Amino acid sequence: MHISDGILDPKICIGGYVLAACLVGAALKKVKQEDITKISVIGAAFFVSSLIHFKVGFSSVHLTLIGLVGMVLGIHSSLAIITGLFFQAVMFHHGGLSTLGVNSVLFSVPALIVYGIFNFVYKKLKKVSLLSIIAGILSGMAIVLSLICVMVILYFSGEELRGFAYLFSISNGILALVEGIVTAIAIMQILKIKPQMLQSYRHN
Amino acid sequence: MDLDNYSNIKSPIHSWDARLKCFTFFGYILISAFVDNFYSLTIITVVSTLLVFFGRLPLKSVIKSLKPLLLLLIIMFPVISLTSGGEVIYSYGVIDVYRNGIITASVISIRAFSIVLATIVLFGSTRLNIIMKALEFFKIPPTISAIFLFTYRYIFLYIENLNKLLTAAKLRGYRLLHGIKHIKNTVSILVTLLIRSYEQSERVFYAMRLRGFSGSLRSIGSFSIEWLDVVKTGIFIIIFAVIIWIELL
Repeated sequence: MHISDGILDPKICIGGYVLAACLVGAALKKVKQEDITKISVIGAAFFVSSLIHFKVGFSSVHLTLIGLVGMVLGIHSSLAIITGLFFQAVMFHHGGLSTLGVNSVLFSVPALIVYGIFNFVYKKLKKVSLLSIIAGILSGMAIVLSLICVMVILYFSGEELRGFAYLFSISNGILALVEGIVTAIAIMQILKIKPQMLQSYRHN
Repeated sequence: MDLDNYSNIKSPIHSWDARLKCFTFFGYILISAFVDNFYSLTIITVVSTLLVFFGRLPLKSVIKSLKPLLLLLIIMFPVISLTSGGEVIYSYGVIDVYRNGIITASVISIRAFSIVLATIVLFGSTRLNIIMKALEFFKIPPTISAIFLFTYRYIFLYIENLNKLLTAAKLRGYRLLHGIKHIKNTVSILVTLLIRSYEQSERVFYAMRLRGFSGSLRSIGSFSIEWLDVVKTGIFIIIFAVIIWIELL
Protein backbone atom coordinates (compact mmCIF):
# COMPACT_ATOMS: atom_id res chain seq x y z
CA MET A 1 0.00 0.00 0.00
CA HIS A 2 2.90 2.32 -0.67
CA ILE A 3 3.06 5.26 -3.03
CA SER A 4 5.98 4.79 -5.41
CA ASP A 5 8.62 7.24 -6.53
CA GLY A 6 7.72 9.62 -9.32
CA ILE A 7 3.94 9.62 -8.79
CA LEU A 8 3.40 12.51 -6.39
CA ASP A 9 3.48 16.25 -6.75
CA PRO A 10 6.72 17.79 -5.33
CA LYS A 11 4.79 19.88 -2.79
CA ILE A 12 3.16 16.74 -1.37
CA CYS A 13 6.55 14.96 -1.12
CA ILE A 14 8.10 17.90 0.76
CA GLY A 15 5.00 18.30 2.96
CA GLY A 16 5.20 14.57 3.74
CA TYR A 17 8.82 14.90 4.85
CA VAL A 18 7.98 17.89 7.07
CA LEU A 19 5.09 16.04 8.75
CA ALA A 20 7.17 12.86 9.10
CA ALA A 21 9.98 14.88 10.71
CA CYS A 22 7.46 16.27 13.24
CA LEU A 23 6.17 12.77 14.07
CA VAL A 24 9.67 11.31 14.35
CA GLY A 25 10.85 14.31 16.40
CA ALA A 26 7.94 13.88 18.83
CA ALA A 27 8.69 10.16 19.15
CA LEU A 28 12.43 10.78 19.65
CA LYS A 29 11.72 13.06 22.60
CA LYS A 30 10.12 10.12 24.44
CA VAL A 31 12.78 7.54 23.53
CA LYS A 32 14.86 6.14 26.37
CA GLN A 33 18.06 4.17 25.82
CA GLU A 34 16.39 0.82 26.44
CA ASP A 35 13.69 1.66 23.89
CA ILE A 36 16.18 1.78 21.00
CA THR A 37 16.75 -1.98 20.89
CA LYS A 38 13.04 -2.62 21.53
CA ILE A 39 11.93 -0.41 18.62
CA SER A 40 14.57 -1.91 16.32
CA VAL A 41 14.10 -5.57 17.19
CA ILE A 42 10.28 -5.45 17.24
CA GLY A 43 10.34 -3.21 14.14
CA ALA A 44 12.46 -5.84 12.35
CA ALA A 45 10.02 -8.59 13.37
CA PHE A 46 7.09 -6.53 12.03
CA PHE A 47 9.00 -5.90 8.81
CA VAL A 48 9.58 -9.62 8.36
CA SER A 49 5.95 -10.43 9.24
CA SER A 50 4.79 -8.03 6.56
CA LEU A 51 6.67 -10.12 3.97
CA ILE A 52 4.11 -12.90 4.42
CA HIS A 53 1.55 -13.04 1.65
CA PHE A 54 -1.96 -14.42 2.28
CA LYS A 55 -3.79 -16.04 -0.60
CA VAL A 56 -7.24 -14.46 -0.94
CA GLY A 57 -9.20 -15.85 -3.88
CA PHE A 58 -7.05 -15.60 -7.00
CA SER A 59 -5.00 -12.79 -5.53
CA SER A 60 -2.73 -12.37 -2.51
CA VAL A 61 -2.27 -9.59 0.02
CA HIS A 62 0.70 -8.80 2.18
CA LEU A 63 0.15 -7.40 5.65
CA THR A 64 1.15 -3.94 6.85
CA LEU A 65 0.35 -4.60 10.56
CA ILE A 66 0.16 -0.85 11.27
CA GLY A 67 -2.57 -1.33 13.88
CA LEU A 68 -0.56 -3.97 15.72
CA VAL A 69 2.60 -1.82 15.54
CA GLY A 70 0.62 1.04 17.11
CA MET A 71 -0.65 -1.16 19.94
CA VAL A 72 2.77 -2.66 20.69
CA LEU A 73 5.03 0.36 20.27
CA GLY A 74 2.60 3.20 21.04
CA ILE A 75 4.12 6.66 20.58
CA HIS A 76 7.33 5.06 19.21
CA SER A 77 5.51 3.39 16.33
CA SER A 78 6.40 6.19 13.88
CA LEU A 79 10.11 5.36 14.38
CA ALA A 80 9.57 1.67 13.60
CA ILE A 81 7.32 2.54 10.65
CA ILE A 82 9.75 4.97 8.98
CA THR A 83 12.56 2.43 9.47
CA GLY A 84 10.48 -0.38 7.97
CA LEU A 85 9.43 1.76 5.02
CA PHE A 86 13.02 2.87 4.45
CA PHE A 87 14.17 -0.75 4.20
CA GLN A 88 11.24 -1.69 1.97
CA ALA A 89 12.22 1.20 -0.32
CA VAL A 90 15.92 0.37 -0.52
CA MET A 91 15.76 -3.44 -0.35
CA PHE A 92 12.61 -4.26 -2.36
CA HIS A 93 11.93 -0.90 -4.05
CA HIS A 94 8.36 -0.85 -2.73
CA GLY A 95 7.51 2.77 -2.08
CA GLY A 96 10.51 5.00 -2.56
CA LEU A 97 12.92 7.45 -1.01
CA SER A 98 11.22 10.54 -2.43
CA THR A 99 7.85 9.39 -1.04
CA LEU A 100 9.24 8.03 2.24
CA GLY A 101 7.90 11.03 4.18
CA VAL A 102 4.38 10.77 2.76
CA ASN A 103 4.25 6.99 3.20
CA SER A 104 5.43 7.14 6.80
CA VAL A 105 2.80 9.79 7.66
CA LEU A 106 0.12 7.66 5.97
CA PHE A 107 1.08 4.69 8.16
CA SER A 108 2.12 6.43 11.38
CA VAL A 109 -0.97 8.59 11.92
CA PRO A 110 -3.42 5.63 11.77
CA ALA A 111 -1.04 3.61 14.02
CA LEU A 112 -1.04 6.41 16.61
CA ILE A 113 -4.82 6.80 16.42
CA VAL A 114 -5.24 3.03 16.93
CA TYR A 115 -2.91 3.20 19.94
CA GLY A 116 -4.84 6.13 21.45
CA ILE A 117 -8.24 4.47 21.09
CA PHE A 118 -7.01 1.01 22.16
CA ASN A 119 -5.33 2.52 25.22
CA PHE A 120 -8.62 4.17 26.19
CA VAL A 121 -10.60 0.95 25.63
CA TYR A 122 -8.01 -1.13 27.52
CA LYS A 123 -8.58 0.92 30.68
CA LYS A 124 -12.34 0.29 30.52
CA LEU A 125 -12.49 -3.34 29.38
CA LYS A 126 -10.70 -6.41 30.67
CA LYS A 127 -12.35 -9.18 28.64
CA VAL A 128 -9.80 -10.64 26.22
CA SER A 129 -12.28 -11.62 23.49
CA LEU A 130 -13.91 -8.18 23.46
CA LEU A 131 -10.55 -6.39 23.44
CA SER A 132 -9.39 -8.58 20.54
CA ILE A 133 -12.49 -7.83 18.48
CA ILE A 134 -12.08 -4.10 19.11
CA ALA A 135 -8.37 -4.34 18.20
CA GLY A 136 -9.31 -6.08 14.94
CA ILE A 137 -11.91 -3.44 14.07
CA LEU A 138 -9.47 -0.63 14.89
CA SER A 139 -6.78 -2.23 12.77
CA GLY A 140 -9.12 -2.60 9.81
CA MET A 141 -10.19 1.01 10.25
CA ALA A 142 -6.53 2.11 10.32
CA ILE A 143 -6.07 0.56 6.88
CA VAL A 144 -9.26 2.21 5.62
CA LEU A 145 -8.09 5.60 6.97
CA SER A 146 -4.69 5.14 5.37
CA LEU A 147 -6.37 4.12 2.11
CA ILE A 148 -8.67 7.17 2.14
CA CYS A 149 -5.63 9.43 2.64
CA VAL A 150 -3.77 7.74 -0.27
CA MET A 151 -6.84 8.15 -2.48
CA VAL A 152 -7.21 11.83 -1.57
CA ILE A 153 -3.51 12.44 -2.28
CA LEU A 154 -3.65 10.61 -5.63
CA TYR A 155 -6.95 12.33 -6.51
CA PHE A 156 -5.47 15.79 -5.95
CA SER A 157 -2.11 14.93 -7.55
CA GLY A 158 -3.66 15.21 -11.00
CA GLU A 159 -6.76 14.37 -12.98
CA GLU A 160 -4.83 11.65 -14.81
CA LEU A 161 -4.29 9.65 -11.60
CA ARG A 162 -7.95 9.38 -10.58
CA GLY A 163 -8.53 6.04 -12.34
CA PHE A 164 -5.42 4.67 -10.71
CA ALA A 165 -6.65 5.94 -7.32
CA TYR A 166 -9.89 3.94 -7.69
CA LEU A 167 -8.03 0.78 -8.72
CA PHE A 168 -5.63 1.26 -5.80
CA SER A 169 -8.50 1.49 -3.32
CA ILE A 170 -10.30 -1.59 -4.69
CA SER A 171 -7.16 -3.73 -4.70
CA ASN A 172 -6.25 -2.69 -1.15
CA GLY A 173 -9.79 -2.74 0.27
CA ILE A 174 -9.55 -6.48 0.94
CA LEU A 175 -6.40 -5.79 2.99
CA ALA A 176 -8.48 -3.99 5.64
CA LEU A 177 -10.53 -7.14 6.21
CA VAL A 178 -7.54 -9.50 6.34
CA GLU A 179 -5.58 -7.11 8.55
CA GLY A 180 -8.53 -6.82 10.95
CA ILE A 181 -8.81 -10.61 11.30
CA VAL A 182 -5.05 -11.06 11.70
CA THR A 183 -4.81 -8.33 14.37
CA ALA A 184 -7.80 -9.68 16.32
CA ILE A 185 -6.27 -13.17 16.48
CA ALA A 186 -2.79 -11.77 17.26
CA ILE A 187 -4.04 -9.52 20.09
CA MET A 188 -6.03 -12.39 21.57
CA GLN A 189 -2.88 -14.56 21.65
CA ILE A 190 -0.67 -11.72 22.93
CA LEU A 191 -3.14 -10.90 25.73
CA LYS A 192 -3.12 -14.55 26.80
CA ILE A 193 0.62 -15.23 26.46
CA LYS A 194 2.55 -11.97 26.86
CA PRO A 195 0.35 -8.94 27.64
CA GLN A 196 3.49 -6.99 28.66
CA MET A 197 4.13 -6.57 24.93
CA LEU A 198 1.25 -4.12 24.66
CA GLN A 199 2.02 -0.51 25.40
CA SER A 200 -1.39 -0.13 27.11
CA TYR A 201 -0.54 -2.97 29.56
CA ARG A 202 2.77 -1.33 30.44
CA HIS A 203 1.06 2.05 30.99
CA ASN A 204 -1.65 0.64 33.22
CA MET B 1 18.24 -8.69 -0.82
CA ASP B 2 21.43 -7.59 0.93
CA LEU B 3 22.10 -3.91 0.46
CA ASP B 4 25.87 -3.86 0.39
CA ASN B 5 26.77 -7.06 -1.45
CA TYR B 6 28.82 -5.14 -3.99
CA SER B 7 30.34 -2.49 -1.72
CA ASN B 8 33.86 -3.92 -2.19
CA ILE B 9 34.01 -3.35 -5.95
CA LYS B 10 36.45 -0.66 -7.11
CA SER B 11 34.74 2.07 -9.09
CA PRO B 12 34.52 5.88 -9.26
CA ILE B 13 31.19 5.66 -7.38
CA HIS B 14 32.56 3.34 -4.69
CA SER B 15 35.58 5.57 -4.01
CA TRP B 16 33.40 8.70 -3.64
CA ASP B 17 33.45 10.19 -0.12
CA ALA B 18 30.28 8.94 1.61
CA ARG B 19 29.20 12.37 2.87
CA LEU B 20 29.44 13.98 -0.57
CA LYS B 21 27.93 10.87 -2.18
CA CYS B 22 24.90 10.93 0.16
CA PHE B 23 24.43 14.66 -0.36
CA THR B 24 24.64 14.25 -4.16
CA PHE B 25 22.47 11.14 -4.45
CA PHE B 26 19.71 12.34 -2.09
CA GLY B 27 19.72 15.68 -3.93
CA TYR B 28 19.53 13.85 -7.25
CA ILE B 29 16.66 11.64 -6.05
CA LEU B 30 14.66 14.65 -4.85
CA ILE B 31 15.28 16.62 -8.05
CA SER B 32 14.40 13.58 -10.22
CA ALA B 33 11.05 13.28 -8.42
CA PHE B 34 10.10 16.79 -9.52
CA VAL B 35 11.10 16.64 -13.18
CA ASP B 36 8.38 17.18 -15.81
CA ASN B 37 10.06 18.52 -18.91
CA PHE B 38 11.13 16.27 -21.81
CA TYR B 39 14.76 17.54 -21.76
CA SER B 40 15.08 17.12 -17.98
CA LEU B 41 13.61 13.62 -18.24
CA THR B 42 16.21 12.77 -20.88
CA ILE B 43 18.97 14.12 -18.61
CA ILE B 44 17.89 12.03 -15.58
CA THR B 45 17.57 8.90 -17.75
CA VAL B 46 21.09 9.35 -19.10
CA VAL B 47 22.56 10.25 -15.68
CA SER B 48 20.97 7.27 -13.92
CA THR B 49 22.17 4.89 -16.65
CA LEU B 50 25.68 6.35 -16.37
CA LEU B 51 25.56 5.92 -12.58
CA VAL B 52 24.88 2.19 -13.04
CA PHE B 53 27.67 2.01 -15.65
CA PHE B 54 30.24 3.83 -13.48
CA GLY B 55 29.09 2.00 -10.34
CA ARG B 56 30.10 -1.30 -12.02
CA LEU B 57 27.32 -3.18 -10.24
CA PRO B 58 26.45 -6.51 -11.91
CA LEU B 59 23.77 -5.81 -14.51
CA LYS B 60 21.90 -9.00 -13.62
CA SER B 61 21.50 -7.85 -10.01
CA VAL B 62 20.37 -4.36 -11.10
CA ILE B 63 17.74 -5.79 -13.45
CA LYS B 64 16.55 -8.17 -10.71
CA SER B 65 16.16 -5.20 -8.35
CA LEU B 66 14.06 -3.38 -10.94
CA LYS B 67 11.48 -6.20 -11.15
CA PRO B 68 9.03 -4.91 -8.47
CA LEU B 69 8.95 -1.47 -10.08
CA LEU B 70 8.45 -3.01 -13.50
CA LEU B 71 5.47 -5.02 -12.22
CA LEU B 72 3.90 -1.88 -10.75
CA LEU B 73 4.40 0.07 -13.96
CA ILE B 74 2.92 -2.77 -16.07
CA ILE B 75 -0.32 -2.35 -14.10
CA MET B 76 -0.18 1.44 -13.75
CA PHE B 77 0.66 2.35 -17.36
CA PRO B 78 -2.52 0.94 -19.02
CA VAL B 79 -4.75 2.10 -16.12
CA ILE B 80 -3.58 5.71 -16.39
CA SER B 81 -3.55 5.64 -20.22
CA LEU B 82 -7.15 4.37 -20.35
CA THR B 83 -8.71 6.44 -17.55
CA SER B 84 -7.03 9.84 -17.53
CA GLY B 85 -9.50 11.64 -19.81
CA GLY B 86 -8.69 14.40 -22.31
CA GLU B 87 -7.78 14.03 -25.97
CA VAL B 88 -8.42 10.53 -27.35
CA ILE B 89 -5.64 9.27 -29.65
CA TYR B 90 -6.94 5.75 -30.23
CA SER B 91 -10.32 4.17 -29.79
CA TYR B 92 -11.43 0.54 -29.92
CA GLY B 93 -15.06 -0.09 -28.99
CA VAL B 94 -15.60 1.30 -25.50
CA ILE B 95 -11.85 1.54 -24.85
CA ASP B 96 -10.26 4.97 -25.34
CA VAL B 97 -6.56 5.66 -25.09
CA TYR B 98 -5.83 9.20 -23.90
CA ARG B 99 -2.84 11.32 -24.87
CA ASN B 100 -2.59 12.88 -21.37
CA GLY B 101 -2.61 9.43 -19.79
CA ILE B 102 0.26 8.16 -21.94
CA ILE B 103 2.32 11.31 -21.23
CA THR B 104 1.67 11.15 -17.45
CA ALA B 105 2.40 7.41 -17.27
CA SER B 106 5.62 7.87 -19.27
CA VAL B 107 6.79 10.74 -17.04
CA ILE B 108 6.06 8.71 -13.88
CA SER B 109 7.85 5.66 -15.31
CA ILE B 110 11.00 7.60 -16.28
CA ARG B 111 11.14 9.38 -12.91
CA ALA B 112 10.59 6.13 -11.01
CA PHE B 113 13.22 4.21 -12.99
CA SER B 114 15.78 7.00 -12.58
CA ILE B 115 15.20 7.25 -8.82
CA VAL B 116 15.29 3.49 -8.27
CA LEU B 117 18.49 3.16 -10.31
CA ALA B 118 20.12 5.91 -8.21
CA THR B 119 18.92 4.18 -5.02
CA ILE B 120 20.35 0.84 -6.20
CA VAL B 121 23.71 2.43 -6.99
CA LEU B 122 23.90 4.38 -3.71
CA PHE B 123 23.02 1.47 -1.43
CA GLY B 124 24.86 -1.07 -3.59
CA SER B 125 28.11 0.85 -3.50
CA THR B 126 28.23 1.93 0.17
CA ARG B 127 27.85 -0.07 3.35
CA LEU B 128 24.79 0.91 5.40
CA ASN B 129 26.83 1.78 8.49
CA ILE B 130 28.93 4.19 6.41
CA ILE B 131 25.76 5.79 4.98
CA MET B 132 24.36 6.22 8.49
CA LYS B 133 27.62 7.72 9.72
CA ALA B 134 27.57 10.11 6.75
CA LEU B 135 23.96 11.06 7.50
CA GLU B 136 24.89 11.83 11.11
CA PHE B 137 27.26 14.41 9.61
CA PHE B 138 24.09 16.05 8.18
CA LYS B 139 22.60 16.16 11.70
CA ILE B 140 20.39 13.05 11.44
CA PRO B 141 19.95 12.10 15.16
CA PRO B 142 22.29 9.25 16.22
CA THR B 143 19.25 7.48 17.75
CA ILE B 144 17.71 7.19 14.28
CA SER B 145 20.87 5.77 12.75
CA ALA B 146 21.20 3.33 15.68
CA ILE B 147 17.58 2.16 15.12
CA PHE B 148 18.22 1.75 11.37
CA LEU B 149 21.40 -0.28 11.91
CA PHE B 150 19.88 -2.50 14.61
CA THR B 151 16.80 -3.12 12.49
CA TYR B 152 18.92 -4.02 9.47
CA ARG B 153 20.90 -6.51 11.53
CA TYR B 154 17.76 -8.21 12.92
CA ILE B 155 15.77 -8.33 9.68
CA PHE B 156 17.99 -11.15 8.37
CA LEU B 157 17.88 -13.01 11.66
CA TYR B 158 14.07 -12.90 11.72
CA ILE B 159 13.74 -13.93 8.09
CA GLU B 160 15.74 -17.03 9.02
CA ASN B 161 13.63 -17.55 12.18
CA LEU B 162 10.39 -17.12 10.25
CA ASN B 163 11.47 -19.66 7.63
CA LYS B 164 12.36 -22.13 10.39
CA LEU B 165 8.98 -21.62 12.09
CA LEU B 166 7.10 -22.03 8.81
CA THR B 167 9.03 -25.19 7.92
CA ALA B 168 8.47 -26.66 11.39
CA ALA B 169 4.74 -25.94 11.19
CA LYS B 170 4.46 -27.45 7.72
CA LEU B 171 6.29 -30.59 8.90
CA ARG B 172 3.74 -30.89 11.71
CA GLY B 173 1.03 -30.88 9.07
CA TYR B 174 -0.30 -27.32 9.39
CA ARG B 175 -1.54 -25.66 6.24
CA LEU B 176 -0.24 -22.11 6.08
CA LEU B 177 -0.80 -19.07 3.87
CA HIS B 178 -3.74 -20.75 2.16
CA GLY B 179 -6.37 -18.07 2.56
CA ILE B 180 -8.61 -16.97 5.40
CA LYS B 181 -9.48 -20.60 6.32
CA HIS B 182 -5.96 -21.27 7.64
CA ILE B 183 -5.28 -17.77 8.91
CA LYS B 184 -5.15 -18.77 12.59
CA ASN B 185 -2.19 -21.11 12.01
CA THR B 186 -0.23 -18.42 10.21
CA VAL B 187 -1.03 -15.73 12.80
CA SER B 188 0.16 -18.08 15.58
CA ILE B 189 3.53 -18.21 13.86
CA LEU B 190 3.62 -14.42 13.51
CA VAL B 191 2.79 -14.00 17.20
CA THR B 192 5.53 -16.50 18.15
CA LEU B 193 7.99 -14.43 16.12
CA LEU B 194 6.81 -11.17 17.71
CA ILE B 195 6.92 -12.51 21.29
CA ARG B 196 10.39 -13.97 20.74
CA SER B 197 11.55 -10.64 19.32
CA TYR B 198 10.09 -8.76 22.31
CA GLU B 199 11.91 -11.05 24.74
CA GLN B 200 15.08 -10.82 22.69
CA SER B 201 14.95 -7.00 22.64
CA GLU B 202 15.53 -6.88 26.41
CA ARG B 203 18.45 -9.31 26.20
CA VAL B 204 19.95 -7.35 23.31
CA PHE B 205 19.72 -4.11 25.30
CA TYR B 206 21.51 -5.60 28.33
CA ALA B 207 24.18 -7.15 26.10
CA MET B 208 24.71 -3.83 24.32
CA ARG B 209 24.83 -1.93 27.59
CA LEU B 210 27.55 -4.25 28.89
CA ARG B 211 29.52 -3.43 25.74
CA GLY B 212 29.25 0.28 26.48
CA PHE B 213 26.22 1.22 24.34
CA SER B 214 25.13 4.73 25.21
CA GLY B 215 22.38 5.42 22.69
CA SER B 216 24.46 5.73 19.53
CA LEU B 217 26.62 3.29 17.59
CA ARG B 218 30.25 4.06 16.94
CA SER B 219 32.06 2.81 13.87
CA ILE B 220 35.73 2.79 13.07
CA GLY B 221 37.13 4.61 10.07
CA SER B 222 37.01 8.23 9.12
CA PHE B 223 36.02 10.18 6.05
CA SER B 224 38.44 11.93 3.76
CA ILE B 225 37.57 14.13 0.83
CA GLU B 226 39.81 13.91 -2.25
CA TRP B 227 39.78 16.51 -5.01
CA LEU B 228 38.13 13.94 -7.34
CA ASP B 229 35.18 13.69 -4.93
CA VAL B 230 34.71 17.44 -5.13
CA VAL B 231 34.83 17.25 -8.95
CA LYS B 232 32.17 14.47 -9.00
CA THR B 233 29.90 16.44 -6.67
CA GLY B 234 30.55 19.60 -8.69
CA ILE B 235 29.43 17.85 -11.90
CA PHE B 236 26.19 16.85 -10.20
CA ILE B 237 25.59 20.37 -8.87
CA ILE B 238 25.91 21.63 -12.48
CA ILE B 239 23.42 18.92 -13.57
CA PHE B 240 20.99 20.01 -10.80
CA ALA B 241 21.34 23.64 -11.90
CA VAL B 242 20.66 22.72 -15.56
CA ILE B 243 17.59 20.65 -14.61
CA ILE B 244 16.19 23.42 -12.39
CA TRP B 245 16.87 25.97 -15.14
CA ILE B 246 15.07 23.82 -17.76
CA GLU B 247 12.13 23.25 -15.40
CA LEU B 248 11.82 26.96 -14.61
CA LEU B 249 11.87 27.82 -18.30
